[in-house]
Amino acid sequence: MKAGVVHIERKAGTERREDEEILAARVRYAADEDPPGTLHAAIYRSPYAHARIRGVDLTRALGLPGVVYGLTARTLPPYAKPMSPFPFQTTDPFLQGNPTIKFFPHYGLASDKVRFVGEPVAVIVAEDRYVAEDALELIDAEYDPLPAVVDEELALTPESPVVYEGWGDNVMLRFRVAGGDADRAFAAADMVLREKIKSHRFAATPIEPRAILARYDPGSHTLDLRDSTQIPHVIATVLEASLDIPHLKVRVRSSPVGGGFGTKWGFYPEEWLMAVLAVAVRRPVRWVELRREHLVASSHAREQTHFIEMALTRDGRILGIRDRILANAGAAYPQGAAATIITTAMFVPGAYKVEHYEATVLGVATNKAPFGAHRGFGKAEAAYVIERMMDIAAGALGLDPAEIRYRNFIPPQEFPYVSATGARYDSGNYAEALRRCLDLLEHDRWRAEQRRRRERGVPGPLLGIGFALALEPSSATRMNSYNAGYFSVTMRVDPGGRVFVFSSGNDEGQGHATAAAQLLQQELGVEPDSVVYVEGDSLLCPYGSGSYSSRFSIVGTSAVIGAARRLRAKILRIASYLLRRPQEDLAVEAGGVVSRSTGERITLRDVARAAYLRLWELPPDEDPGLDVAYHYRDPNVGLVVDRNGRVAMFSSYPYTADGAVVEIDPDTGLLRILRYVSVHDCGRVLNEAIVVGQHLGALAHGIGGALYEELPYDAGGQPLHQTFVDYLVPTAREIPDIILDHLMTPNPFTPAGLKGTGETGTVSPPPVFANAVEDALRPLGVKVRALPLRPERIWRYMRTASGQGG
Amino acid sequence: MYPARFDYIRAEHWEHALEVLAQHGVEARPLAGGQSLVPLLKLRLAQPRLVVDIGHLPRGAVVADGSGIRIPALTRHADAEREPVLGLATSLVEDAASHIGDPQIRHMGTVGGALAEADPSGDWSAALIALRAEVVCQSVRGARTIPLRAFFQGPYSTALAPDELIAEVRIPPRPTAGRTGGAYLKVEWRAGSFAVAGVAVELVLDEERRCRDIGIGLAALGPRPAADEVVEALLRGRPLTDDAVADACALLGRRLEPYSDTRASAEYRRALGPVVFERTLRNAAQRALGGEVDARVW
Amino acid sequence: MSGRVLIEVRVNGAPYAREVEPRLLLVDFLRDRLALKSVRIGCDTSNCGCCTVLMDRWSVKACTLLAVQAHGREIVTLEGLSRDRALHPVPEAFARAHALQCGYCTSGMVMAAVDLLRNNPHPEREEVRRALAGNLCRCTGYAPILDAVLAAAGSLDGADPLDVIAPADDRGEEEHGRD
Repeated sequence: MKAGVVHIERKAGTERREDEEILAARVRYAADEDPPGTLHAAIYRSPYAHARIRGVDLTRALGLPGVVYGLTARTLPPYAKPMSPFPFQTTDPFLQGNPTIKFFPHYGLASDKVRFVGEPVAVIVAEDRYVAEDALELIDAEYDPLPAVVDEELALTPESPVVYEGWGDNVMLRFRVAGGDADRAFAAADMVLREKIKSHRFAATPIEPRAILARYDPGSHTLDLRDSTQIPHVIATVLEASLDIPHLKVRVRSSPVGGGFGTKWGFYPEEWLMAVLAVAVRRPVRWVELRREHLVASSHAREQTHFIEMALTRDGRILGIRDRILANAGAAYPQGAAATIITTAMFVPGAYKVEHYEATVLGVATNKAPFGAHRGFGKAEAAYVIERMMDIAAGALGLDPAEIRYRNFIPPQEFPYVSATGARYDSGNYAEALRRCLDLLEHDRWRAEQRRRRERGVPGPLLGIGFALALEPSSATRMNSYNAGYFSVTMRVDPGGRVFVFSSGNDEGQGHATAAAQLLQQELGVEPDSVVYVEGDSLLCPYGSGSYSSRFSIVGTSAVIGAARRLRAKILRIASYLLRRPQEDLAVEAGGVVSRSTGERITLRDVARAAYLRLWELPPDEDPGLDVAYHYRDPNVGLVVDRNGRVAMFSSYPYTADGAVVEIDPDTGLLRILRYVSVHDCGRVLNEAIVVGQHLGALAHGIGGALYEELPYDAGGQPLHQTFVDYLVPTAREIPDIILDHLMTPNPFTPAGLKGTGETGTVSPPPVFANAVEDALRPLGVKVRALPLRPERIWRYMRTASGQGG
Repeated sequence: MYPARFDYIRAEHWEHALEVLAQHGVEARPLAGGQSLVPLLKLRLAQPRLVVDIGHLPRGAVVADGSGIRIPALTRHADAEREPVLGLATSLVEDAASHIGDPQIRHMGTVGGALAEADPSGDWSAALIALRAEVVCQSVRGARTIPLRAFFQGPYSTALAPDELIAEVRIPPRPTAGRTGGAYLKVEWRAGSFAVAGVAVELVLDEERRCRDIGIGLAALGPRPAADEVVEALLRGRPLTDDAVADACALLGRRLEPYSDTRASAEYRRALGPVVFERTLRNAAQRALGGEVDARVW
Repeated sequence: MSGRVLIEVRVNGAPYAREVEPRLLLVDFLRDRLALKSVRIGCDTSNCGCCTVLMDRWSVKACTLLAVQAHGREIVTLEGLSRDRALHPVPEAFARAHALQCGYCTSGMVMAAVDLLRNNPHPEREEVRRALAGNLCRCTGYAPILDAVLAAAGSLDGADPLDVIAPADDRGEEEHGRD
């Protein structure tokens, strides 16, 4: 891959299998399914951030012609149990020594209190969505408003309103991780830096809103959900546990999904609700999320405050780090908040050799929307903090921000490297990535230009240079949760010679079918057209935890390879018998098996027919059939947490060294990106177009988070950005042409050497732009303290610095 | 988001629409391109009993003659953007029309609809105020002409009576003497989002580069789209020296009555106003002198 | 005047006559009544562009139009671009340039590109950015989409993208039946 602005051209054999269906308009997403007789649900949501519910009366709403059914928490059918806990919300043996995780048994409708604006309070089912929305206006609900708490620091004070009274306080999670001896490191330091660094609340906002179609067949006790989710099996499991219906079988079908990015990794009230409703009304019930519902009531992420201390030597070596992290996690619905928060604590040391480290993290309940997963999952927050600290430390020591990084990077020869939190970093060459980034950025030239402008007092745009080395630990594992460190694939050749692959993954645009077909071509010599790839169906596919954490490219591809090799072994055994040639003489290629010595050839179909139809052609000790199951067990994750909270939670460590040159208009705070460089290492590359495409998309997402996107609340808990009119996802006009380069340090733990891809780019832009803006404003002595860097914020920094006010 | 129920009449012709409005008054809302009304219907912020559709009626042509330019109210933003008659008359209209929303919105939204919505951040409103345009409002009671500077009464509020439709926008003729240039600049957080601050300037320079006349229209800088006639008066007759421009900017800044919303604080808008004004003024002057300008605020 | 309104509209070359509630949005008319599922909803507020279709050859957002506004007009959706097996040159260019991942924004993106290439057969990269400012994508980072549109301009070589659609067979009501 050549460095520069990339124009993707797909190579022969790597074309996407998924495209034609989309481009010929045949693809069907969850909202496109509407079988005859479908009813439409609309959800009445809390207008209050915090209030006691006095009563919700549906009488008038149910009287509207066309309305079929409605529910409040007080009229729930007896089979409706609270929403089952999701991974990490149980008191988990994983957490020995770190016991605090509190759970609240929510129903899908608020019962006693509402705890955030947008929380579901009632649901109406009608013959069409327009009528259902009409009925919402006829719901008579009464509340006693309560004071709301939206700030994580205030939420921990004794005067604060308590979101869940039964807990006594607002702490939903407490976790501590420590490695080395931080106290000694700090005692030996030449300098200790103390900073408060915040990352802001924003969300992944896939362009497809969530959508669910639920159907119940009482005869077979089968509940079928077409659900825009990343985790079909998990949803099936937690729904079965949330409904008290004997013999219930839940089937969840998800694919295709129109983008997930983490938001669709969670168990949501609406999934629970549609299941409850479908059983009640015995007709298909559909709910399609409005974007406003998505922005106020799906899940949010990233909002954390770090009180971080860094101990350094005079020459800029990090001796130790202590961090106290407050995560503003909103209401405690089962969307996986705890996991993201713990992840941050694990990865604050980033790409640096920090031997002495200690972090305490508190997940704080507030009257905001629940936390959930979001591309970059907890690691983005960690990378933001450490990459800001590296710049701040460089400034304090008078060092070049690149130099201080070079002095602290984990050196290439130390991989696999075990970090202070027990993580085992697979491979990397951070210094080389940063060097290449600075070269492509033309760092020295811009630095000289910056000096020239400053020395001569040239009026006009302020020039800033910023960069960061962002680590994106991938393929998460947490024992005793639904993501317990494996990936399953079953594979079958049918008598016609086609290869069926059933995967426990889930595709939200990543191109799994394409990648799997490529791997099967490599491993079995079959043409992509004879591969049928199936995932996103909890009934057909082997049990698994779906897609998240860039798992497919790490454990997913490994499982496909493992299954293919197991299948190949059987194919070769049968072929050896059929051709009467030793296995060592045989090779799989072009849809069949060939003898290297004689050139004699049989097709995969011949092998399959022997396995299914002509058992006399099978070796005597061979089982009939031509199918295998394979469970790839991640070799680079830990199963047990030690008393200090240490464990290898992630198996692979892709990273990116990104840099930007920006100009700022001193009068308005408007920012212009002059150059953006990303040097990316995701190990070996299976499909260059897919990898580059995912990385470019992630970078745009990260630029959105750094410069445009946020989910602010007012002091009373009202969300201020409720639609895409205010929540600004960047368009083609905001995203510059990005200069890309790739570095390749293979993952030694996976058969194909792949790392994760598609998330790293989301992590890097926030610290890159914060560092660049701070650099541009350095003559003013400004410290960037909040994101996103909208022009008004930058303008305020400049104004405050020039003494014109607060 | 789904609109509440309403009745619907597809007007057979312009007069039919006026009759229906006369009959139903405040209970009826006219629908031209729908780019303001349909979002309000979907949010259920507007729940009219009746919608009167005029969007399919003949649009009519933009006409320029000795009495100025007449823009039919049903002219779409996209038409205005491409209209050679307007392009020749002033760059201001193209600047403003091409800034509205995105291509799809410009293909449906109309000039009349945008003015009637009276969004304080409206691009058209600021541009046409700078041009001292008037709107011709019609009802069964007759027609009246209202200067745009008197048309906007507050946020989303105009002098239009419930039974009236905007029929036409009239831009007065350019002076024959002097050199004219117009410009509109807008600060927006992202392509297609609403103005955080917008300033339109139509400038007439004499041969000595003195300001013979100037029109200033402001978007998102006050409770309604407005001119600043005091600043106009300050500059009129003065050479456009750096000092004169600085005085005008300072005066404009002091006179603003900006507001805070989710997009920006009043304080920031107060700071932006003079900066955007100065850049717009320089662009307008540059164009008056026949130069090319960058149509971005920065 | 109250109740349902008859609209007559040509969609992808075929005529349809349907009674609709005045409040019915064009996007729901196309999706639910005519089963044209490529016209998608992503935001409800006219920002994401997933519902972009051509009406009388201009791109519009079907979520911000009432179905009654389409009366007497001609609509083209992504379904109408590619007939039979072969992809239309614009979607074809999207595939080659890897300009789609999850595919949810793709139909709107393609229709916005078709609109651009009708009006400006040989756009500059910056003009493509402007033309797509009404369409959001979360997967691609846009650069591959810009490449696709420029490549499509090259392969169309000045031809109107609507003129390269195979002729319609005018089946409309007979084919789809009344609902």
